[in-house]
Amino acid sequence: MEEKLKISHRLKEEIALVDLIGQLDAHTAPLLETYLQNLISDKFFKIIVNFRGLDYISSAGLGVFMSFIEEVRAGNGDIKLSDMPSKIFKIFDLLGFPLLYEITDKEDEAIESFLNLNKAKEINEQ
Amino acid sequence: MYSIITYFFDSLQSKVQNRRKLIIFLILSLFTVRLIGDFAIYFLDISINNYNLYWSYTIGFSISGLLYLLMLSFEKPMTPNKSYEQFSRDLKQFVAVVISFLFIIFIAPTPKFEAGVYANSFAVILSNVIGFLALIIPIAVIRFVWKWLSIRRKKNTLIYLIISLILIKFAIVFQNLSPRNYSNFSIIIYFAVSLVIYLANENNNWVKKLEMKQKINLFFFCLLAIGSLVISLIIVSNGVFNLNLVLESYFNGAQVLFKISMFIGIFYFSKPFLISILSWNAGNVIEKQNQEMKNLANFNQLISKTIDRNELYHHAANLVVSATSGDFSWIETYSDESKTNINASNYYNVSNLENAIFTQILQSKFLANNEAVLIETMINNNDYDSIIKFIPECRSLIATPIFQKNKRLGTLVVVKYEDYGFESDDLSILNLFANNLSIALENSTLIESSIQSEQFKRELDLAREIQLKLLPQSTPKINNYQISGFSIPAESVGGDYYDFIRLKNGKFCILIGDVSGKGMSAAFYMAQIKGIVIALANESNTLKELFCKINTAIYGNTEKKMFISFAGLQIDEISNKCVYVRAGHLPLYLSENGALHEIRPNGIGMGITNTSIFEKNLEEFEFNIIKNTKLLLLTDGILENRNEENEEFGEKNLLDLLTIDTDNADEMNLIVKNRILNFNGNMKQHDDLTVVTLIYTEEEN
Repeated sequence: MEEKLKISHRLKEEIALVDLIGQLDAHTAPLLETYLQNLISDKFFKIIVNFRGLDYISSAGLGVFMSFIEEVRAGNGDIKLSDMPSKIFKIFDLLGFPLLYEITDKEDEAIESFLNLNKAKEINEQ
Repeated sequence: MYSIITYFFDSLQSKVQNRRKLIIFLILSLFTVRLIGDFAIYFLDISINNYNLYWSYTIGFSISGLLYLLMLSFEKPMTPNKSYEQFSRDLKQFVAVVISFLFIIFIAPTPKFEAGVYANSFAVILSNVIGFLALIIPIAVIRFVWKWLSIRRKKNTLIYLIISLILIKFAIVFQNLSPRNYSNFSIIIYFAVSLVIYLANENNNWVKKLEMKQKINLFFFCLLAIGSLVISLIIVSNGVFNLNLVLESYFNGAQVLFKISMFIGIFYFSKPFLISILSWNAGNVIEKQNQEMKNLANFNQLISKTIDRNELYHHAANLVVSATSGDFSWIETYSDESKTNINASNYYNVSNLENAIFTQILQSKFLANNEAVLIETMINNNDYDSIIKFIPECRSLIATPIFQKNKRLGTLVVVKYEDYGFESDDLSILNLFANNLSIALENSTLIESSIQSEQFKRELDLAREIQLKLLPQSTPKINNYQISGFSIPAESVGGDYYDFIRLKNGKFCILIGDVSGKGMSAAFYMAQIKGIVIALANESNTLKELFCKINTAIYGNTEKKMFISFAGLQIDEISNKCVYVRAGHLPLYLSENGALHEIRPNGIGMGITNTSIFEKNLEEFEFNIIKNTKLLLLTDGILENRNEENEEFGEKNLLDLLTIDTDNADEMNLIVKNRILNFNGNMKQHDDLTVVTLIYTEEEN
């Protein structure tokens, strides 16, 4: 059977950029769950999920991000979402996710925002 | 006279016994008439040849015909597939009849004739009795041959039979026309008829296929039949006991009939007789193959009936013993913990058998490779001492592996009490058995799992029923409003929810919700939500208050990835004021005077964040409603519902639903449902579908 969801990630400093291609539904959600769990186990708390290649997301797919948000935030990280096709953004928007998650148009903005956070921290520490 | 005729016709239609009685009655009457007539001829000395001829001819043939009918009435109906048993039964009866006749002839006094006519009045009676009895023999031959040729009929059988009948008729007529030349010519006709019958009897493969015992039986009785027929023929031909004269005086041509049927019988029975000798050697092999086929057929029959594995093992163990003429057998299986179990055995001492098996010597041999193992003898091999210690009779054995789905499951072992007890093809027989057993085990697994899934399905049906009861069973009557709703889960159970409640202050609300995910897990949360709503509705004065309480109840108390999109519409029975609260759910869609609106206040889904953030972001949208406004509350399954072209139902079709021209909510709800399901076509429903339709029927104050 053809994989319905392909997951891969790139690293940018301490940020993990996760690319999703395909469909994120009740069947494929556990794949992403395991994938994110492994990243977090490897101490990647700063995660950006790039939705550019995603065609479809179901409620089970949305739930995956909720599973880890507390854990990464506790580790001074975050899960940021970027490059959402408008259809997928609508679904996140309807549920009020933009109020709780940083959803950016472009991946770079999300990276920037992580880096700014680091800078702000450094300034604070100084 | 009239009563006799009535009786005759009645009896034709009545039971076999009555018909038989009638035939016997007719035979006896004819016999008596014949006797009286013969006496009359004898005493009055009427020697008009033709008169004598017609007299004996008529009576003789009538009696022959009646005898034939009488024999028919004794025959049992044929049952298919049992033809050997029936043939053998008929043959034995036939032999008994002929031999009894010969016996009677031998002990009875010989009727005396002078120049072809009865010598004294005693001879009249005696000749009539013996003639009558002698007539039974050719009739019996003809009946037997006719019956069995037609049962084992081939393409040309009927033609052969017709030819032989013509020849018989010709032989009799010819003798009457020209008695003097008769004996020279007769033998040719006899042989011709016999040859035709011999040719007609061509379907004899059944003899080859018989078991040894049956062949011996057939051989013996055919020999008896042929022997007794030959003796009868010799007696008539040589005029021993004046039997030729008895027959000739019984009716003209009786002698020919007798002789010709003896020929027919001898030739007919010679065929199964010869074949049973000639196929003697094939007997053993065929017998064995038959036995194997029978065993396999038995086993396959059992397979189709047996689900229980132990029963299967038991049957297999018993059948391999008979298939290989073994002394006992057992079936052992290996569990994952490399433990050996005996699943079936027919050795008398189970604990000894266990000890022998668990000596590991056999185990290592059986499991060395996944092929059948043949131990031809245990002599001079110390390896087997420990086995012989426990099973002293054991001399040779075959062990065949049993697989299930390519996994080694166990071993089927047959033991003989003699060295070199097995033949080469016993290995292949056992392999065949083991293969069939594997199939049977696989079947049993499949059946078991299908039973389980059947049980599972029943429980799902039960769950579905229960869940359907969690949804409103009827729509409440609310002043100025018409309400209707439906919910169809995509699987047996689903995560969609809708409800009608009253808050603490008595305000009526319609709730709709969609638990994330689908199937059983969603259904459990849906049931939980229903409980929470019931508990908290009476404690809350507003929808927002209720929603916050629900969020508190579930946030942190359920799986992190679980959330619920929820929405509520509060309506007022007196005023036209409505409140819509949306916790991550779809907007409220409404059509007002033909204008379509979407009400989408802010709100985060339930279970996503803590109640303070949830509450801060939850907006209450108040609006006034005007007459004939139609409202739709639904779950996203409706929008994402796909047709056969994989297109989504989408917002356009959704807004079209609001233009349905009706002022009855039930009717509108039904149309909505049909449109959605029709759109779906033959596609599998992807998500739960829930819609609540609402129509405001009252003019604003």
